[in-house]
Amino acid sequence: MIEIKGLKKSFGEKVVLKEVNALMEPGKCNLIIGSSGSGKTVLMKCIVGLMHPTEGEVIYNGNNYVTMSLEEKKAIRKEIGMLFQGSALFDSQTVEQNVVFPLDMFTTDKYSVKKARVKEVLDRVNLNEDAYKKFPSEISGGMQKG
Amino acid sequence: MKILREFGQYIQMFKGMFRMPENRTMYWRQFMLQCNDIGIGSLGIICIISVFIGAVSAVQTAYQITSPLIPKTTIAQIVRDTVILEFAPTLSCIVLAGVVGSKIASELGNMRVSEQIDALEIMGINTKAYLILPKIIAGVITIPMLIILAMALGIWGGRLAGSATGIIDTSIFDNGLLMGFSGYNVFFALTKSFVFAFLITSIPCFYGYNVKGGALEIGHSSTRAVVVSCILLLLADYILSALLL
Repeated sequence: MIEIKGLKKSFGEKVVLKEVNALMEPGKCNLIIGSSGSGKTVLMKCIVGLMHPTEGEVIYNGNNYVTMSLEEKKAIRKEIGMLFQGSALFDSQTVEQNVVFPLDMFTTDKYSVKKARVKEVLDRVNLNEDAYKKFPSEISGGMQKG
Repeated sequence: MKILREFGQYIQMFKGMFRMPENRTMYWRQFMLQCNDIGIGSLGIICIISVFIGAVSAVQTAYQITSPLIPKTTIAQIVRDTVILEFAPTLSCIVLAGVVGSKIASELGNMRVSEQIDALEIMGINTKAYLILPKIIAGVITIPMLIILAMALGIWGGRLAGSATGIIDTSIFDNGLLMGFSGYNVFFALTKSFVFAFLITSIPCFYGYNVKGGALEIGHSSTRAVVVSCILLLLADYILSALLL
């Protein structure tokens, strides 16, 4: 469960988020809707810890994420998935290398296991083996998002 | 005020950089990649400028020594000492500040703007340790190696130009090289190259990592990184010369 209490975020004089309160319960789908420039991305970045809120709390299962140590934050971040506006794929790596990167970093699995996992997730988004060796710039925007 | 703030942020960049890596193999791979990019990638330009620096140095020294009382071996001595003390470390590092510095700043800037750094943070990766530290360590290791090569090629360039233009015979040049050689000069040049290597890798990392905005800001940060690196490099050159010579 994620709870947001009195969240405020300002950049210098400009206040982007003011007194934001929300409760995101497990198993439920939450939607953040707002006009362009209203601070949706800033709110998301505050929730996942990419931005430090000016005031307020972001509570993950009873623990305040804002005041956590880096090591505690890292443990929670591993549970978070985020789809960025610009895909955020590594330009210098192929599609396959992009997908296998977190497995290389955090697991000691054999190459065959990792390859099977890559195939599984890329099949799920209808990317066939032709796309594996391509770089992000060589595939369409939709494929990048996938 | 802005300079002080930037200096504070630069110092803060090092905080949190020295932590246990998530995966040693991946960090090692990243380090080797940077060694290849910085070291091997700059090899060509360093070879070319070193040979020409040495050659020009020999020709111009000979032009200025007009007295027949001064032995020709002096030309070799002057070429050797100027190449070792100043030309190889300082001039090569100024060129490297442009080549390596702009590459590092634009690479990190692009990663910041396209949210690749944010994506790494979300995965729980210490981006300063994974992206910045390997670049600095690779620079501090490979750049002094390039400077040693630049010293050798610079002296060889002087020898080549001296014999090609008929200014000084190679045997006289070789004799001159051995006369009054001080090993401390090489130590001094290597000390400078370590300091310069740290500056020309860490400063672009700072500007690239902290880019805010878009493509235009990447260009600005890249230019700023090179300019600041060059100025601090020359300042460090003066301070080290005053302290160590």
